[in-house]
Amino acid sequence: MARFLLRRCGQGIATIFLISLIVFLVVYFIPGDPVTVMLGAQGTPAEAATLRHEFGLDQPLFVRYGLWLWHALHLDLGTSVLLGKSVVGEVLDALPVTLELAFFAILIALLIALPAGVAAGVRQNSWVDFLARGVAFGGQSIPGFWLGLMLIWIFGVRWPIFPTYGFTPPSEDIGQNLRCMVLPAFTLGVYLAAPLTRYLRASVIRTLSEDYILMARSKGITARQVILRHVVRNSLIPFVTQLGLQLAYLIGGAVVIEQVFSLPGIGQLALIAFQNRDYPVIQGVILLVATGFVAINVAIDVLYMALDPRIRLQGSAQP
Amino acid sequence: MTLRGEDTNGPEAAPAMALAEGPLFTDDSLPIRPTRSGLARALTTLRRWPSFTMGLAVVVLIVLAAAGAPLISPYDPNVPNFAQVLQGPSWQHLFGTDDLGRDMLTRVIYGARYSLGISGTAVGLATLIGIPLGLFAGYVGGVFDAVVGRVSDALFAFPAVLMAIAIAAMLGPSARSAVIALALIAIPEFSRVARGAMLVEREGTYVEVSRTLGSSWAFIIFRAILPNALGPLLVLISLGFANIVLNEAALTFLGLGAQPPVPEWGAMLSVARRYIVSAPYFALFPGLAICLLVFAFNLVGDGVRDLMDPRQRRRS
Repeated sequence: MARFLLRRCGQGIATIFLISLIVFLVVYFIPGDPVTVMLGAQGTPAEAATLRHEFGLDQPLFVRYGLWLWHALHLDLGTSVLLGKSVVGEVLDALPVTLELAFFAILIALLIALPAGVAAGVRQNSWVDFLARGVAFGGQSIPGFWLGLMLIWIFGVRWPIFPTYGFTPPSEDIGQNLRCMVLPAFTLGVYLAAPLTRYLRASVIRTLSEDYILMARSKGITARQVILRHVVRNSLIPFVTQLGLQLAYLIGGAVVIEQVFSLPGIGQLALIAFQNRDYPVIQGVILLVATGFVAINVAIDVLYMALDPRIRLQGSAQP
Repeated sequence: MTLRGEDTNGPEAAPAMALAEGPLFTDDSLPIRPTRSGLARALTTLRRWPSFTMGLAVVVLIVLAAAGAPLISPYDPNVPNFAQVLQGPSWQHLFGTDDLGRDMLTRVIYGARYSLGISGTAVGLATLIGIPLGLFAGYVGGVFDAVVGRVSDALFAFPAVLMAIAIAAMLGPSARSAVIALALIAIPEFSRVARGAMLVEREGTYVEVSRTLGSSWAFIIFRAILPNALGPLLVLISLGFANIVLNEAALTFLGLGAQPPVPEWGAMLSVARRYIVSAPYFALFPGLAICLLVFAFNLVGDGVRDLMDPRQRRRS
């Protein structure tokens, strides 16, 4: 177990280094010169050279990568070209908005997916199954940004119940903060709940047709116990992986949803940075978000192992 | 030697025998039934799985509409008509008109071409690269698996849209950049699911039997394991198609995919967003078109899952 954990953490660190290289190279190959963007048409070549030197843009590629990595390790991701603030500060300002959105979205998604997925799988082809499948199909087929637009139209324009754009920090007004999160979190939650419900249902059905379920039933274990102890537990293994996979989609979805509801989160920060060729912010946002995902992936692998004894045994048997 | 259909060693041994002796069952249930023609079998399958059939029918209809867009569209998708901007639905314009007075029905029909073309190419690339990579990595394990796993993790660690934004910024916003970005986003998922399916299947007794019989790794992966792992993979492809259609629309909505005046669904919604208060119908129909296509692919994916599972098939 300890060896598996160590190995998986080592792999995670290697992945983060690989990401840092990819991030650096992707940004390096983006056409256009940030110095020209900063100075505009009035900038002289001398001013451009000074700025280039100031940002280290006149150094060779690998020196720049090494320096950037060294500073990144010390949580110094540079200064935003556009706003002149530290990138870490920018990200820390935007992160709580995205995390709050993600938290409420996951909560809404799990509240829908767990009961709906298990009930639909256990009672396959019943009315519960048809209802859950119908709702999941609908939810999964609706583009999040379009659902957001329709919700803005219904609950913001036609019946103005919820705010349709902008963000109030919880420190300012917690009630208003929760109100302005309702529509974006619901939009994102439905987007997440649909695939999770479908996946859990499929997983439960697959587990139900396993021979050990037949064995458990023939041993006289009550139907409730079979479902809770065998079916749900075994169905949760692929479900946990799927939840991990969906987290990446969640942040991807959040980028778009933040745009629809004008929320000042990570997605909007990245989009504005890309539009303005704000290299340090682009690199910083991607590196930090990607590092978060690697950590989640490692955690999921460990969970996966804890849930499935077959994988646990195989993991410990490997050299 | 075992008689066909006689299961003496439990269900796990059945696929191994199938390998050695060909398919156990030539039909859905029992081998004593006379073999029917492929067409008759296909028709029976379609009748038996109405939701799959409906999904497939909608996909086929949308493909036909996209292919025959110039024949069935009432107007030109790109010619503005400033006398009729932002009209609601009417007999003249069933889906209304956009901010430049262009017929929305026409633009929605033409939009199917872009959505299907861009998404289809991306799914094709992801399938051809991601699935063999994941299957092979899962089977051989060791260094190759570790390297594929790390690169896949690294790519996977980018949230899809953030990565697509990076690629679109690098290549310039266009349909081509969207295809590359969408394929790159999908490859790690395709390879991860394929690897996961392989990890489950390679522990099966039939794989052990196949190995004992001296089969090559290519035979074991593609002839023994792939048919058994095909269910989740086909579901992945059809659901992946649905996801890619959604991502493609989102990218274009953010202004990173196909550019105006191309009649693309996400691009139409991006413009319609500005008129959500005064002309909500403008946003309604392109969104419904995306929903319909994605819904159809989801139905097909779900149907494929049921169809590929012999236990489900026999029960029905």
